Amino acid sequence: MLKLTAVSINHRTANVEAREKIYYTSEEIRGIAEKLKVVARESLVVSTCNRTELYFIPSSAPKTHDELYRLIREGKKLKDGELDVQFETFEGFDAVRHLFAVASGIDSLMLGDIQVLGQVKEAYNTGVELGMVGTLMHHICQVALKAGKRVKGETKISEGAVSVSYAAVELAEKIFGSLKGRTTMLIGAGETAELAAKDLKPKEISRLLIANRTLERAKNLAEQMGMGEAISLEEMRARLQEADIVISSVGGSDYVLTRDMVAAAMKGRESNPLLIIDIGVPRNVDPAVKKIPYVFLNDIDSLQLIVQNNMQMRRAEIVAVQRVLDEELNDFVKWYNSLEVGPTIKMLRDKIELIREEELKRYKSKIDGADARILDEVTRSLVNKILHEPMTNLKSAENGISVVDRVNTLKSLFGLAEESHQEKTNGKN
Amino acid sequence: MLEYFVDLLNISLPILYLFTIFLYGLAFFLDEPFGLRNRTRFLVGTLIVHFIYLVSRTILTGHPPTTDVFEIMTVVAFTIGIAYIYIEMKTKVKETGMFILSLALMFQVVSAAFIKLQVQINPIIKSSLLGLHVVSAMLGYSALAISAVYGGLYLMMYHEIRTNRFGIVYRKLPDLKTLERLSFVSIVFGFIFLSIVILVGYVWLPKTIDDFSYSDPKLIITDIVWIIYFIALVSKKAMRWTGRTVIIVSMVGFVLTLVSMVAVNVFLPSFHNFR
Repeated sequence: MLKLTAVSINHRTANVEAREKIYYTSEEIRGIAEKLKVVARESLVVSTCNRTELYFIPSSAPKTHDELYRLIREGKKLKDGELDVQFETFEGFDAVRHLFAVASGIDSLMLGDIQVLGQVKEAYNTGVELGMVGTLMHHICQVALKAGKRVKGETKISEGAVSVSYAAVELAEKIFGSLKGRTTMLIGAGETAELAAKDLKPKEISRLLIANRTLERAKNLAEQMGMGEAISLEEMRARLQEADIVISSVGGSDYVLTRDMVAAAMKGRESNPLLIIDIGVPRNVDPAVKKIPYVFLNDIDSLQLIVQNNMQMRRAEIVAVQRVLDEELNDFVKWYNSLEVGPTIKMLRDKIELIREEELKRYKSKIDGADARILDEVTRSLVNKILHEPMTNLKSAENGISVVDRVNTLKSLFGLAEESHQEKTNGKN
Repeated sequence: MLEYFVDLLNISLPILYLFTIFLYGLAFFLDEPFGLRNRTRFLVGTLIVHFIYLVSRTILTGHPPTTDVFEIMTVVAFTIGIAYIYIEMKTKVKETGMFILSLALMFQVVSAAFIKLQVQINPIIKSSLLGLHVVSAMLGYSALAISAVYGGLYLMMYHEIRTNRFGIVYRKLPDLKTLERLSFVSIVFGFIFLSIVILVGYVWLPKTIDDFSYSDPKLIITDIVWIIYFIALVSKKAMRWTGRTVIIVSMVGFVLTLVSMVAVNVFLPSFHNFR
């Protein structure tokens, strides 16, 4: 049985305040590494804003889940009662499966979060650097990273915007293709508009016009964004035709953009499309604007619908993700079981060889040199022939009996000593 | 023996196109892994079979399959498939395959149902200028057909976004700009080939055919179609038409092409028949 335990404090078991307290920086992992190396043959600490997890292979006596939880807490210098949260635990191959699920993004708070794969890789690199990761954990991490990459490439679990601000970007890309060189106008400097602008900036938009009642606030946002030109609401009307994407989020009961204003702006745009995203409540843009050709008017409900559809699509992909993870886990189990077979075969051969040699010794005095050589050859050949079939069958998992069960039965029947974990991991890889 | 082989391929091709479209459909609607993995492979296989069919048919009849509308239809289906696979490799966009290949299937089904083995043909068919005329026509009509499909997809996407639907069309199809570009580039290719068709036709046909007439319905229709595409292209440049307008005009041109192709070949008398 794989002696791996995982203790996880995550978004299911703890609120954000508790998760913040238990979050480990690379420096803090460095701090706990020496302590872990004393009690663990191998270990790994994965810490992100949504989880802190310890993967632990004991060096001698196994630790209880509470002891491992205490280890994590003590690494953060948290006293008893200071962090009273539930934690999840996983044992053996379930722990491996859990790490695969984490790396693939299906265990994330935001289903299909692609950042987590990079964070698992970072945790692995830190573990290697600090000497916490050995042969077994190395293989587990490599397969987890491979599984994460496969999931990203073979499924749609991380596709489609799942935040309102990114849905605005996705919508703009569906109209304009590349957003490189496009001009965006923010009307009002509200939070969602600001978030959308932040998501648009990496898409290499060329200009950002920020129109606001208070020019000072527009200037502040431009400064914060590292790009942008602050303009007044009056100037906004005159410069509307320059914009390809307009995101409006101002307060007030009157329409900031009327049909006449947009129609006038479109005359100067030579049928180039204009995307207007109205996230103001009450609405900032006259709905009649929608009737103007090449004007795409979308409101907060539209963006939320995009997010909902994408979430639904991601949820539908979970089955495909599980299939990939199952395949990778099966391969891992086969690899791990193959580690058991080699040393067991060696132990059995050694034991039978010892019996053979002892028996030959008993009759050594009764037979001469030539007969002794023949007897040696005959017994050796006999042992090889008897062992050949059981050894071959040991490696296969037919008839529903796993390799581990076969190995355990063999060990028990022949009284073979339990080989050490060290022998196992040194025997292969 | 070869005749049976050609017949067998003639029956198989619509089935192969249908199955290929089915795979593209599985991938489009259900993201089904078998469809995702194998759609392009099956298309390549189908096109190879189609190529073998055209070559076998040419060997059997002693002339390229361009002597009547049903022979032309199977060549058009083939060139649509070839043009599509080129676009797929160039743009990496595979989601439009189901729509473009449905057009190829339509041509292939009609061709397979009515095509006959025509061994006796007019010697005029051996002229190399006629070869240029016919090949240009095939490529031109295929490009215009592809342009029309991309145009249709553009209009679907435009409507989907304008009405805030965000369904499968929104998720799966490429962006409006890409669809517009694909449609426009296809129009340009179609127009160039159509121009060659007309140019070769007007220079060569009067010298070769005794009963040539400028008032032949096929010539008039082709001229009208050419003028429609000319207007669409010039207007895009001069009047800065974009997107929807150019696409609507080009789709009108294509519908007219399709209707005239059938009507002129089936119902109206024309010198434009080389049997």
